[in-house]
Amino acid sequence: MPRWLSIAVAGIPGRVGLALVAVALVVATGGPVVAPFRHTALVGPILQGPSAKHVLGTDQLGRDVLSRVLYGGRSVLLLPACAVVLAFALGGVLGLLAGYRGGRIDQLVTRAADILMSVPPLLLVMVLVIPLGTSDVVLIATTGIWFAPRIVRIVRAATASVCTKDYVLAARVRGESTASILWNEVTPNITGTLLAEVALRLNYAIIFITTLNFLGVGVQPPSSDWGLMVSEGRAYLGHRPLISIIPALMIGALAIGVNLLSDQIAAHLARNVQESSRL
Amino acid sequence: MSRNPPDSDRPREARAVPGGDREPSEGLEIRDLAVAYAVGGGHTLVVGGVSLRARPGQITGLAGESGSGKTTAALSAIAYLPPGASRRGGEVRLDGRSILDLGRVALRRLWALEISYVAQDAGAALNPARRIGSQLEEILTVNRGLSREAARRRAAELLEAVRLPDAATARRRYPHEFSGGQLQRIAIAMALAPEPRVIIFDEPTTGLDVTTGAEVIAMLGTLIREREVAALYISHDLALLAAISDELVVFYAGEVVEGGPTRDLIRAPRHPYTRALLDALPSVRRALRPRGIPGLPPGRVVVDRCSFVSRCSYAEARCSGEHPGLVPLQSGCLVRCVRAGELGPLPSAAAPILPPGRERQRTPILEVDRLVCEYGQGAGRVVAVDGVSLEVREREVVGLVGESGSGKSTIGRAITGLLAPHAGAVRWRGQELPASGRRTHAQHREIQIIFQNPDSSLNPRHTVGQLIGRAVALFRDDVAPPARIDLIADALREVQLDPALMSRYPHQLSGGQKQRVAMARAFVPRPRLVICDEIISGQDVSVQATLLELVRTMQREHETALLFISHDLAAVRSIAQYVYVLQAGRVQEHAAAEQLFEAPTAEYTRRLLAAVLDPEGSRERGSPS
Amino acid sequence: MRFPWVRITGTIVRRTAFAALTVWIVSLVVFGALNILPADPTTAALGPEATPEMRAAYRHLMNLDLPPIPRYLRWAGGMLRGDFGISVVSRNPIGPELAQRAALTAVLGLASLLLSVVLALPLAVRSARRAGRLFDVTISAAAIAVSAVPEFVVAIGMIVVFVSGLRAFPVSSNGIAEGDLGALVLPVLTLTLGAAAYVFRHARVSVIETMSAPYVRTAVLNGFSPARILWFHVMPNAAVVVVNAVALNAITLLSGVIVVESVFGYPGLGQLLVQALVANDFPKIEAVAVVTTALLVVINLLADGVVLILDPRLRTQVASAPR
Repeated sequence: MPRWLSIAVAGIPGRVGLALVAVALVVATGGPVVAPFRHTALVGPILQGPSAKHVLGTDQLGRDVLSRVLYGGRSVLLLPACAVVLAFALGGVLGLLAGYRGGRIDQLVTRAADILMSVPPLLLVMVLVIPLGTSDVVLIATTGIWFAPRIVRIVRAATASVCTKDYVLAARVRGESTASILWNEVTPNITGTLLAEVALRLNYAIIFITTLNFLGVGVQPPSSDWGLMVSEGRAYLGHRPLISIIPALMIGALAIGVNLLSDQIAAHLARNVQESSRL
Repeated sequence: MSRNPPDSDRPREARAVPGGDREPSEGLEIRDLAVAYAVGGGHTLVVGGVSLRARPGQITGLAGESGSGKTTAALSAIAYLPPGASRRGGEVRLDGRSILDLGRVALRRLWALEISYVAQDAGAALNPARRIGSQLEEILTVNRGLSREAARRRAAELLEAVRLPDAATARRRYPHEFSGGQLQRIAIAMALAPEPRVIIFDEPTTGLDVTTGAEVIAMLGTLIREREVAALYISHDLALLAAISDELVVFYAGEVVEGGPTRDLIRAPRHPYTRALLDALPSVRRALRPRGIPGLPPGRVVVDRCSFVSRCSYAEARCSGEHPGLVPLQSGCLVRCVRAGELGPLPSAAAPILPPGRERQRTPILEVDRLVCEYGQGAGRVVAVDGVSLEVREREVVGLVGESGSGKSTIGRAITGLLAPHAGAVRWRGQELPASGRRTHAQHREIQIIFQNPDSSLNPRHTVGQLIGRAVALFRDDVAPPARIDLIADALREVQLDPALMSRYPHQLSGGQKQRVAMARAFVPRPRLVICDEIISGQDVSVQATLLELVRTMQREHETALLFISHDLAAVRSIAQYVYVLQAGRVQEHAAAEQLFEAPTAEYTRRLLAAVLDPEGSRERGSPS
Repeated sequence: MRFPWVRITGTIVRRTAFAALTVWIVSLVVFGALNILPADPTTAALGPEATPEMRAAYRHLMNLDLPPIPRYLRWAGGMLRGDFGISVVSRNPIGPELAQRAALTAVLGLASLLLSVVLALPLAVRSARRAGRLFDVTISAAAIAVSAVPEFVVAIGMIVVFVSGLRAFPVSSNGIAEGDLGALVLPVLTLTLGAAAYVFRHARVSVIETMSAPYVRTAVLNGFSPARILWFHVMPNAAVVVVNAVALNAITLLSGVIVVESVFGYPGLGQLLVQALVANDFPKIEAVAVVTTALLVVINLLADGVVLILDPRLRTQVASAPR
């Protein structure tokens, strides 16, 4: 069993989290295949309640709600995941360098990261999509860039604390190159922290992007993105609540699942640190 | 100036008992205490059959290495059981009253009024979010019922009594504004505040400088005797205990293996472990070869045979068959050894070494020339090394001695190129050495360093084989890759480690084993100089002796030079041929070892030597001061 | 040295400067995004049928005939003087509207911040003392659920339960403008739950960790009662972490405010922003973005100030860089 998997299933929260994420993954990837209708197809009278033909009813345009839910997972998973990858690629490299080198580079990178982190992200992305548009690339890029500074801080902190250890000094005394030290000595010791952070960032990215979609400044209709569905169904909450509630529950399940996994990894990490420092 | 001495100074019999509320104390008596930890499904006995006596006005030393159970025993004796621990037997009496079965409220009263505990790390034991005055006065107001005013005055008196500098203004400051030594004094003041009958000191001077520690101990001893407190003093430092304690109890594998008056125990130990511990101590008075104890201690109480049998040089067949009991001898000492009666006092096995001299005809390979190293800028600038010059010749062992802040580690860093000097030069074979990034391969190979803390110097994610293998891959291209595994195995054997440990990770090894891996890694490249930066501090006494033996052996066999950096003067004496004494970044004195230790010329050196506690010294002097 | 005023003042000055920098950068980015566009702003504002004269008039009104940098300076200078420009949609000055809305948003934000602490702290302390038992597990699970999901999910949940289900509160909080406090309940409740969950988790961990600290063992061995230990030894240390968490929360509160105002129709700055975005009312977008950021930054500074007062270590050490 691969290491990350065995860590994840070690505790009950981890298992629940893994199950929730797995369900969301299945729906997102396999949904469009099993959906009875296409998500844009007008297949019935508007605002119908649940029936045999439309298990979750139809929405305000006459589209099958179940099908729309099955199609809608992709953007909720794909976009945040890509954004997190981008953020780690950018932030990870900068953080490693800043943490290892210290001095001026470190100060520069840290200040830049602080400045970026202190500006409110939602506000700025909402404004930035006006000139830049709401394509997937824009969403991934803006989300990734807003998350990168936090990653820089975390990777830098982890790297800096590793670099105070004598085994890094010992490598320098042996005359090893910077790249060799970063790869052989530093990286194996920060992967645990990184893993915990990846899961947490994924959670925030999901929250961020679904909120953007909900507010109408992210993915656009006729996409059946879950956040968008919640927003579109808002007007009908009294009459046909399922249009909003089902996608909201799906988002909730995914978000909670990712969060539980990240907690599990963090708890495992904390225990590991204790054990390895004991005799 | 004649004045009536305060009540606490008068001899006990003469003191009037005001209102009769505090009778003379009988001290603390522990009998057959046993404690177990819950592990997995069952229990592991970690403390077994501990018996000892602490009398008022006397210091009873609890000696033992890490894992011997002394702290657990002491805390359990005052009914403080850590989570997961349970008492398995025995009783404890304070002034004749049993204290182990008290209810929660009564127990809190006991801790509040009659027993105090001084933890090892005073800094951590004080609340960082509260001023120390508030913490000290709280004990007086809550536990002793004093008014705010009276508490304030008493607190000020206590801080004066522990000789805290600026005692008057101290109460408004926070713990992080004090140094380690000052924090320890404050902790002692807090322990004295409720006027307890018993105080347990848990390694209070570990982590303090030699001179600071000596002051704290002197002050402590006076206060204990003045106030007639029964003191338990836990320490791994046998030399220290020999100097200050009246009674001594030796712990091994969770049990008391020997106990009695300190003088007798040090002069004539009966238990092989006590003997071995004493033999492991280097001396500052003469050049001795300390001897390590082979093997590792068991991590728990052993019940079917003698716990020391696998490491004992006096072991016989019957030692493996029965578990010895704690038996009193005529002298009043207690010993847990079936052969104690027949063996009598055990002779020392430590051998003096011939004082090695400096051989003038050898050429210096390392020259440090008026080195200046600084940290920080502007107001925060610190000059760590201020014009230090030293030489190391081929195959020579040079000792570099100093307390914390003397700059000794900085010099080690400058020599390895980790630090760029502000001024001055470091020369290797006559050529000036650049910073680490720009040295030649040969220079990297020839100068190696062993760090103090193996938890920090060994990458936790690499196996032992990988750790040594890296040095082999970099520096031993005379050995073809297929033969490298054998080279690693040989390197491990040389430091007396089983080659099978190659596949283990550092956290699976003991502290001594880890340091030996670091040693193997340093010698495998066939260096010309190995810098030992406090390599034995932080290890158990017997492990220190083993490490000293090993590094000396390897130095001789590999014909390398050694720069032995340490604050431990006795250790330096046992190994160095030439010694430099460092204080505040300057060399105070340097001479051949024999000459420096026998007839020091610098005032600082004399002060340092005087502060070192030596079991032999106290034996010669007679009763402890 | 009781209160090192020099050091604290230095820290305050530094943090204020940093806050001002934040607002300035936001203004730059917002201005740049909306003004350095390839698209013709007149089309966006006036529609495709506008005549050339109208476009010229609009350009002059909006200072679009100036190059970007002087245009920015004029706009920024205007805002510092209190002139927030004119809405292209309503043709009215934006300033007066901002004041009332800013007040309403501030009420929403501060109320939620404070309530979150009031709600979370006692629960966190109780949970920490009974760590691992039923109370703790239940509340912790609820906290995870709430803090993991986006605010709009919580908001929808509120509506389903209270509005559709219990019919206890109005779905639209417009009534707050007339002083209908009932309209305040759901938005505040939604924000509070999210913030409280966050504070709860941090506070709980902080208390648990503090309870196993060495100085707590010292307090136990000094014979103090559990109550005294909790309130006089544990809480002063745990509190620092808590306040830090609350301070950090102020930033995430902004996105929550925008969502909540949008969902519940609460007439604050967040709703104004969304309306302006939908209407492509650029001057209004710029003004609201900057003012909202400024409001947030001020709340943040206040929270930082409280942290500084509470943590003795921060006072006497060299102040660390802003988070």
